[in-house]
Amino acid sequence: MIHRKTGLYTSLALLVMMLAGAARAELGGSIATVQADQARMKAAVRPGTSGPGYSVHVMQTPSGITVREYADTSGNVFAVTWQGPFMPDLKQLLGPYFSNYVGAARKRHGGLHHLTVADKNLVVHSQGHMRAFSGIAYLPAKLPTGVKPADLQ
Amino acid sequence: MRLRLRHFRLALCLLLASSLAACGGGSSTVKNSTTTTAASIINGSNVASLSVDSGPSTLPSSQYTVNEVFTDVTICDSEAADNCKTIDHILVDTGSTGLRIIASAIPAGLNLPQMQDASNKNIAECGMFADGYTWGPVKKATIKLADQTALSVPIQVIAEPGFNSVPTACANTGNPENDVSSFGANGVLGIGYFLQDCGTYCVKNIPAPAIYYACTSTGCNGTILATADQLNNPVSLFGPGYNNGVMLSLPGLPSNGELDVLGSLVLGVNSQSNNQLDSTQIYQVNASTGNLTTVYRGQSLTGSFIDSGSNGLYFNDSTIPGCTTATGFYCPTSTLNLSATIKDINGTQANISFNIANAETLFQSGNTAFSDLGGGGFTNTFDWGLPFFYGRKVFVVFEGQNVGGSTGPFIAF
Repeated sequence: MIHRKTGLYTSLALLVMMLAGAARAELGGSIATVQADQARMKAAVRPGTSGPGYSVHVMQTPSGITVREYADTSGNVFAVTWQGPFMPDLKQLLGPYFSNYVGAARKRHGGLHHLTVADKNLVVHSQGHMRAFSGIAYLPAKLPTGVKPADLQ
Repeated sequence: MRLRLRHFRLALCLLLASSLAACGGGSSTVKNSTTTTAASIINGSNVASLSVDSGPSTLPSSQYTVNEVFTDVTICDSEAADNCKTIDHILVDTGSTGLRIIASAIPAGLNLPQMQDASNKNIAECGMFADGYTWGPVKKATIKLADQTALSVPIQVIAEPGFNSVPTACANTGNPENDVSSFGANGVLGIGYFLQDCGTYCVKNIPAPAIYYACTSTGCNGTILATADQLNNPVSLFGPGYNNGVMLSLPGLPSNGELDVLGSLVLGVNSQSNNQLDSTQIYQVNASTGNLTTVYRGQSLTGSFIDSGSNGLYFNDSTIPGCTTATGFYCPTSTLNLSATIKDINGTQANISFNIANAETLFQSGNTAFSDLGGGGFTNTFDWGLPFFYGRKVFVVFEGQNVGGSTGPFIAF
């Protein structure tokens, strides 16, 4: 009982810290704001494998969506990926780039299970079918030297 | 612009007295059966007609569709089926579940009953697709396809007046596809492996972002929903022998595509003389995800899937140049002959040869059906879209159905 209560207080304290931390965690934002994503998505943090020039922050939402946020050595998020049975909150993940994504998506229709948006500032592949969605959004100009999009899972 | 081009092409063909095949097939007004098309047409009362063409008449010509396969669906507002309307250009999609129709495409005169929960709140849905979402109420319709009828099936009416306010959580999943031009069809007939779009998860849980919502005059909140009230696979509700799966048959295509093509959607698997598996190889897919594995260039892509609702072959290959104007598609300088291996969850394999042509060249032809259209994708996935279906008979057997000694979900080709 006491243990559960302590856990609750800790969670509340963490939540408050997260909410106070930063408004958004998102593509183009600071890795410090990843905590805001965790809080908003009520996500559990999983260990991630970092690579040369970047770190990975892995979260899993209660609905089973796995989100990976990739940050460069300065702590700037240059890519996010998602995978799960439902679509994620892309506005949260893409942050200021969400409007670019939606605006570009309207231009051409290519079936329901695949969408690519690509310009010099933003590349998004969203794909999959009901029960299995996945995708990636990255900032091509912000990829750390030597990091290829194919390296990002 | 497109219509004028199509008319010009047709006029030119007639003027030159060329064969229609040389003109890339028939037009929407003059249907033509080439040799390959004839072989893909299957006769029987359990068969609905398929067509790949430029899309609904209300679609702006600049947004004509390519590689989208359509059928007509009839819906009625009562189980008596005495008041019915037929809607054309419904996308046939083995990658989703449930019938969804854009409200503006439903002819006047139907009064479909609104689905409500126990406290009389109206049920609405955020239909999730990789390229965007659909928003609108869940209503009940009696669905007729070929000679089969399913009574009072939950369907989604997209962009229904009175449901104008999209919940923020739904809008945050992506691009709104609540009209014919952004959806690319008058609706979608989801006849994939799964019996419901969400299934047992949504009976006890509200995913975040939510799929089903309970609405009052003040707004909508995420809700749980029994499987019977969720969007169900309409074919799974047809009569015995017609409800265990489907088979899609589309003709093979020349390298520059066809203006439009015809095919068949057969209801049921292994139940009639026209839907026998015979020696067709079965590939079991993951029962939770509907995915299987594709091995391409030595990489094992475990998130791969075969579906009729994608208009291309989408996979990641950084050695193939992307297009400049047709963003997202591949534009090799000459057509590439490639191959990949599809591997099911038991290790059963199929080696598949396929071509990737220059998408911009294909689009300049004015044709709408291409077997060699492809584009980039996210690592770990090979999306075998409609190009895979041309020149094949593809069987999709639903989850839990026992057919040919195997239990669905599986695909056979």
